[in-house]
Amino acid sequence: MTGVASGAPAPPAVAGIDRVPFEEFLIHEARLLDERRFREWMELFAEDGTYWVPAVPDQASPLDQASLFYDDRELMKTRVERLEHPRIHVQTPPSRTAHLVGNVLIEQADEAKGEYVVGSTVIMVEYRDEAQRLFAGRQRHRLRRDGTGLRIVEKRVDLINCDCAFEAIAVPI
Amino acid sequence: MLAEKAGAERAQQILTPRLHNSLIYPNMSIMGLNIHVRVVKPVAVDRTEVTIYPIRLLGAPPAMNFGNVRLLNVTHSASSFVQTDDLESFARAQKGLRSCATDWVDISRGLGEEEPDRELNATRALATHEMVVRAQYKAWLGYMREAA
Repeated sequence: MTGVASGAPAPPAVAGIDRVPFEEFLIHEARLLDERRFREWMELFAEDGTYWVPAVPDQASPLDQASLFYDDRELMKTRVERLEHPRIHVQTPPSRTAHLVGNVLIEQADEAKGEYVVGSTVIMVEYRDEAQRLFAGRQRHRLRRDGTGLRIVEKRVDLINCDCAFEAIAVPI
Repeated sequence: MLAEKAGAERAQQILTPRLHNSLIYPNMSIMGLNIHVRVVKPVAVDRTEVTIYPIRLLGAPPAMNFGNVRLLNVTHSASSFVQTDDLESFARAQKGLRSCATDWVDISRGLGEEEPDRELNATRALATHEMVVRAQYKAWLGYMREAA
């Protein structure tokens, strides 16, 4: 399986796999973020899971170039602890977000290994301190079946404006 | 690896941190602590764009270059743990300045406490003191006088 490290066009959907559990997983993830349940969000990730938001279109690697986010579980934990801190300046007042996830396609599936790549479109509206802004892009989740549930092995979000100048982005997309 | 290449004494010298940031007047700096070049672009009176360019060290192990990029993601990306709170305090200062409640911005912290650094033929102060800000304005005044 080739992972999700590519902004290439989505391959055709894999036939014969029920999309509903994957859609429900993505909706659940979006809800955890919108309800600021960041610790539970982090726990959706496998121990070796990564969260990546590239800083340029079609970025080939998070290792040789800066990214907007590139967290392994260790960094994610620090991020979550910071978000939970009562005096984090950039979240005083806190952001309110609404995520919308759609256009869900199962792009790769290996039923024997229990590994899947799911592509979708994400829109996040964020409101904070009297200002509202919009984030939008394609996202790809590499998921691994873990018991009866799914864990995120890799989440990559390619924002359509990833290479523009940003004001602070305090909450994950 | 470094000791083999440069000798034990020189390796020790290289590995002993003597880090400083260099400011290239007026808006570029070379940062030694986590290696990058920073360019500050004033866009409007209430808007400044800061671009961070990580430096890839030629011949350094890939893990070292990745470590630097990873650190910059954490310290200086738009979603970093450090810069985001800094930006928030700049935004609040900007909001406060809009009130026009005071005619002056005080940059006197550490004034008179600077020390000469004879070895480097320079002046030094604590990082939290505002010597650098005063030096910036002094340079600006000098350039403006020259131009007049």
